[in-house]
Amino acid sequence: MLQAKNLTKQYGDFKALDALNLDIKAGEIYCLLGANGAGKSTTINLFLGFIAPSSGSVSVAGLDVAAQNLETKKHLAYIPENLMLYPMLTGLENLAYFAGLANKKYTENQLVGFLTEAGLQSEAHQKRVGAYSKGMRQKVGIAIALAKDAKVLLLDEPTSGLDPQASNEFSSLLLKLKDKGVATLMATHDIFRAKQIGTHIGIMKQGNLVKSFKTELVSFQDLEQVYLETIK
Amino acid sequence: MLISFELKMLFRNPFAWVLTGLLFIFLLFGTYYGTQRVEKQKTTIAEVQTKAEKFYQEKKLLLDSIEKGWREPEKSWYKDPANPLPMGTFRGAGWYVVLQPAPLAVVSTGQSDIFPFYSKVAVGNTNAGSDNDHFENPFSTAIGQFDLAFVLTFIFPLLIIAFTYNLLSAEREQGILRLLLSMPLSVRTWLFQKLTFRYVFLLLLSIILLAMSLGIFGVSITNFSFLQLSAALGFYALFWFLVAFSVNLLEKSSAVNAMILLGVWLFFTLLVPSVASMLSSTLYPVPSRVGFVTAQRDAESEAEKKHEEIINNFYAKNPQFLKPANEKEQTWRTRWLERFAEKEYSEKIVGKIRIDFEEKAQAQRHFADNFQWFSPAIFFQNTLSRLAKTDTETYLDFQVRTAEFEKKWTTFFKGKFLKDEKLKTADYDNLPKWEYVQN
Repeated sequence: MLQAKNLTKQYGDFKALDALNLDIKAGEIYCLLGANGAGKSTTINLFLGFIAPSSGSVSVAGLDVAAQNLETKKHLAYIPENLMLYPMLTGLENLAYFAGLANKKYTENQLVGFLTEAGLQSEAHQKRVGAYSKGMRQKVGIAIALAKDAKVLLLDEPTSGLDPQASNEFSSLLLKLKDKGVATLMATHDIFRAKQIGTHIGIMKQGNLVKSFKTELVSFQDLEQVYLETIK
Repeated sequence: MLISFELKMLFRNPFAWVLTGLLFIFLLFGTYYGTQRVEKQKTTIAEVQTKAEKFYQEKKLLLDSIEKGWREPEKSWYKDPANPLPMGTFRGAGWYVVLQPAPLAVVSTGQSDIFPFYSKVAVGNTNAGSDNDHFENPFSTAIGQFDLAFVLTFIFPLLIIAFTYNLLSAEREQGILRLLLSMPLSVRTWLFQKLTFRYVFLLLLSIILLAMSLGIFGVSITNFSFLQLSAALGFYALFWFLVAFSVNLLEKSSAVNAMILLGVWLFFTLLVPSVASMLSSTLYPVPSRVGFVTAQRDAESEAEKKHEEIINNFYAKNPQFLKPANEKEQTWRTRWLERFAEKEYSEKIVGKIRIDFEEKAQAQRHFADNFQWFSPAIFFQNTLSRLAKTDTETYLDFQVRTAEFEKKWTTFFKGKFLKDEKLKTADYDNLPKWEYVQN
């Protein structure tokens, strides 16, 4: 679903990403760990087509991102660290708006269904987003992913700043999507969350993917040890 | 899909309501201003027309009474209703030529504060229609006049700027842009759709508010001119939306976008007209009106000095009139014959000066008019003046028609005077009539 081949991004002499190879299949959650500036967000931005690679290629659902940028966006959903929506519109209206932009037509009941599935309480559906907490906005983001029927989910530190309960709810939602066959790439600092929901973990340092393994093969303590040693 | 959400966002935005309210207030004020001006024009026209009609009605009745022997004939020649000279020349005589306001005259002051909308035509008054003529500044159009043309030309683009300056930048600044960019829709397409909606919305809103403003003040909008006005507004708004689209694509911050758009506004609405005015008056200077009047007086003074020569020439060329041998033999008739001869002489000189003056003024106007192609604001304002029939062409045409009428009037009265004919009651029914239908 998500593939990077020798993906490199260079800014002048600085290599933000160096020959990254990645292959994330349907139903996998790949958690990218690393310190700030390790290249996690650059990787996400390359998959989104927000920036062009210096060399190598990147594809989403078998489509080359550089060549078929808009086509690839039909298959992916993106939730940034701080998802912002139109504050003048309600959660339901925001969902309808972004679903509309993705050329998806739903009845109001279906849209309510997505919000409910994303865990947003029904009384919040008709409230303007300006009054939403970050966790509530992230849930609308998940609802947008559901409405888009996205095969791929790109998350850039989505649980950062969320309280433990909201973070836990968000993790549960990601697991639900995983069960539906969605391939997820999540950049995060949260080792605990990565171990909890990730099927694979990669540790990045200075633009390089220095470690990549299946989550089930390491314990939380080992993961923490490896991570701390790697980013030293 | 996008339309309903755009509408919701606009309706829930207090800033949009404030702007709409302000536009309506400005439109109402502009309409009020225009209505006051037009009402004053209509009242003045009615007054002068009544005055002239009353004058000739009274003279006709007086003459009728004299003809029927009910009254003694007037002893004073200048009070005699049968005498064509005073009846066409002075002591309240003369006919008013008037330029009736067009249906949408309230829209634009145009050149109405420069050119007269009525003139009194009398025998020998060859300057009718340009009494208050003034060409010093061809661009002293509605700038400074708070009429609808001012609101639509200068304030309306500011409203468009306020509605469009941050269409893309606000999304970036609010953090929504990244989510938008992850949608299968190009930003340009999204921006174009958003701007298209706002264009249609703002245009319809403005036309509705404009129609309401005009309607409140009793101005008819069920005419072709209003359709033309709406179309002109549509094209003008389109220009500003295209500018806003281009500026949004620069992907600068909202503040920078606002500064650029205000700069463009200043350039097209103030800078280009000022440069046009400055260049036209520098490259095509027109002698001042004071200079023209002085030249006119000089010509009259010269005619007085050359009185004998002019009179001798006149009697030599018109042997049917006998030159009085001395002052004692002078009658009111011979004095007026000589006065006409003098006037004809000075008019030849003044005529040349006037033609020179008008040619220079026309060259200046022509040069300034060409600047409209460099500024949609000038072009739009000129269009509004054309629709309101307050443009230069309308007034110049009115002047030409006035001069034609003056010739008719003079021919009628002076002709009878020269032939020494008396006016009859029936002549009062056949006075030259002013009929003017605007092109």
